[in-house]
Amino acid sequence: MPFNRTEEDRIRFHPLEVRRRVRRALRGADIVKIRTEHNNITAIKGALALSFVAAQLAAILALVLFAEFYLTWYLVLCAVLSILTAIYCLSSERSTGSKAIWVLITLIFFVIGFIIYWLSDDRFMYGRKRKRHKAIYEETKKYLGEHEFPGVFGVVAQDCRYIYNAGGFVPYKNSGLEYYSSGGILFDNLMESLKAAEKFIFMEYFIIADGDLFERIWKILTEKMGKGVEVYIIYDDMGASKELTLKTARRMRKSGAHVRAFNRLMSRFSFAMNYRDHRKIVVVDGKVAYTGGCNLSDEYINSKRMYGYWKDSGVKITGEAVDALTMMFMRQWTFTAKESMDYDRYMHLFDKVESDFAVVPYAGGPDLENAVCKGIYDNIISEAHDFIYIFTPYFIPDESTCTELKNKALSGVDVRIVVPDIPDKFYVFILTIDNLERLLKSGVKVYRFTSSFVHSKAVLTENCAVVGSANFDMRSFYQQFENGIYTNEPGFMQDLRKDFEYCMKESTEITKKAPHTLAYRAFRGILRIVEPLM
Amino acid sequence: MKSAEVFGSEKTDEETYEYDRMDVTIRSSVADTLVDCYTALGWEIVERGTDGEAVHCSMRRPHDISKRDHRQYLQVRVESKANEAAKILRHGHRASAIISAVLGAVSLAILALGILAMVYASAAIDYVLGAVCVLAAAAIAALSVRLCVRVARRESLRIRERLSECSKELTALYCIIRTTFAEGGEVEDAV
Repeated sequence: MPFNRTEEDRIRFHPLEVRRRVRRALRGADIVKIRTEHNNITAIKGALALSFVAAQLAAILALVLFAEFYLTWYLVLCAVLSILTAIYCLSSERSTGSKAIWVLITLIFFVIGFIIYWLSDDRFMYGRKRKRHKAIYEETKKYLGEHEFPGVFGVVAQDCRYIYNAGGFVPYKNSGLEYYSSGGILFDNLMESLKAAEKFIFMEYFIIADGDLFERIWKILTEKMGKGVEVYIIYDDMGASKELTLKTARRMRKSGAHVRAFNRLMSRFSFAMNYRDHRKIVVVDGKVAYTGGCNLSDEYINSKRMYGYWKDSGVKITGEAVDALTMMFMRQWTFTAKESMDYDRYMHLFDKVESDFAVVPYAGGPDLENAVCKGIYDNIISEAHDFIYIFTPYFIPDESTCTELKNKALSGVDVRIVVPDIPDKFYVFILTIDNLERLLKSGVKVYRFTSSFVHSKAVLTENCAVVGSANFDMRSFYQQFENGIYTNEPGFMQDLRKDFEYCMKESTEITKKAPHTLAYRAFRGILRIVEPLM
Repeated sequence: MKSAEVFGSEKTDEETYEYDRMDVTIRSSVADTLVDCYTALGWEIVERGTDGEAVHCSMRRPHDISKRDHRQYLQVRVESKANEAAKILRHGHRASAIISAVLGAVSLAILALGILAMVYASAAIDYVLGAVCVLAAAAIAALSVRLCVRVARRESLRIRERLSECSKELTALYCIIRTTFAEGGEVEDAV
């Protein structure tokens, strides 16, 4: 923001004003307080949504109790239905941990447990939407066109085949990649690309928040819209609910941009409310695309201090692979807005890039039958022979992934995981550290990036690199819409490796389990019960 | 790795995003040292206001400064360490405070019970019980004082150790910042 002293600035430095501000700022007895720090305030919308859900559940419970009071045989019926539901759950395709917790819930709370189970079963609650996703995918496949597959062999070819067969995502060659080791660098470059836009801008973020970064980008977008550039924006209704004010959302819509909120919070109670759009995609003119871990909010460029230094990663894509991200966005737009787009108009606009390396943009989510993001991580971990480096803010995978990492470390593969030193959710962090401490014995090295919150999601082995939006947790694997880039491009892998080495150099290595109090261990035990649902 | 292109290459009259801004409030006792750190990290003090307790600074720094992320990272580390030192001092004697509060309350409660028993005694046994309660309260008070002193001594030792660690780390960070970002200094190609 330009530094011009205004009337407000002159008043700002009045001694009385300073004293008031100082007292407020130092109330917490900190030595240094940054003006840009502030705590998140739970959005009224989030609270309203929770109340709405609670009210619906209360209504269901009231009906059930009413039925029990008047129909004594209803209790027996509930017990029978709960047992049948538990048996059904055990025979389902859910993960083992998830089955265990659902059987527990169904049987202990047998009066209402089976109702909650069926409300969470996405074949019922998301079945129709999944059919709609499938129809959109089938209808739009033809717009991807013909192109040459990259000439890759061995494990990379295997991974490409997996991504194609599991999710229908095409491997590209003739694509360029740039790795960005922070949100600041990513958004600087992104803004340059936005300024050069001539036809259209697509943006899909989990979080869009008011602040300096949004104002800078919005200024560019407004200018571009004035010159006839089409702007399409998708944001997740839950992700944006905390920091995108209604005023800004209205401003965005009134400006002429096409704006949609994904999976609105205030709908009927459904576990599908859990399915959030966690993707981060920007496409400009079909020529350049950006993805990674960064959302559109000040903390991602360290302009706002929330959890120490915010470490993130991003990727810029040019060439043929841009089409994949364009397609991903348009499919999501078609689904969210329930309006078709002219796919031909926005595809095949990329600039020619000469490259023989594989670049595979992929996506995962409840719209697909297979857990693509998890599958990719599992595949590349199992194929690694020299080293596996992982950036993740959370580490709550299922047993198979943990066992894989353990076995790799025991086989002599250099497994290193970099996690935050300062967490954003303490209960998730307790489980993250617990899971990582269990891997220490096998030789897995764990690093806490000092005074930082690691938001990057990346995996690097000697064969390939993956950078995207998917965390190493069940929510990202099964419940959220995610995306990422798989590649074997050496320059990109080298840049990512340099970033890992820098972070590990600045990190504290966890070498043994820390002693914990009885209360901590008890709380952790409770969290372990619900871990499969996190 | 490509470095960031200069931001704001198409400057208009309004687009003067040359500078990043930051406002900071620092306790007076360490203000000079920390302001020195910020200056070494490339920040320019634009405004400075002082109250008895603290110093309020408004700063700016060129957006396209070299190694911006590394500077930000070091800055956060300094701030975190400084605030950690304050937290150690604030919470350092928490255990002894809790012990003294709890035991103090318990002994007061028993004392009150004993006094009430003696005041409203209707039989000799009530006087005896009351006296026993008063003696017990005195014993608990004496024990709690002894316990609190022992715990407080251990806490003081621990506070000294942790503050010393904090201070060493802050000094090390300060040295790194001064040597790395002093004029003409080069930083290892980190990110």
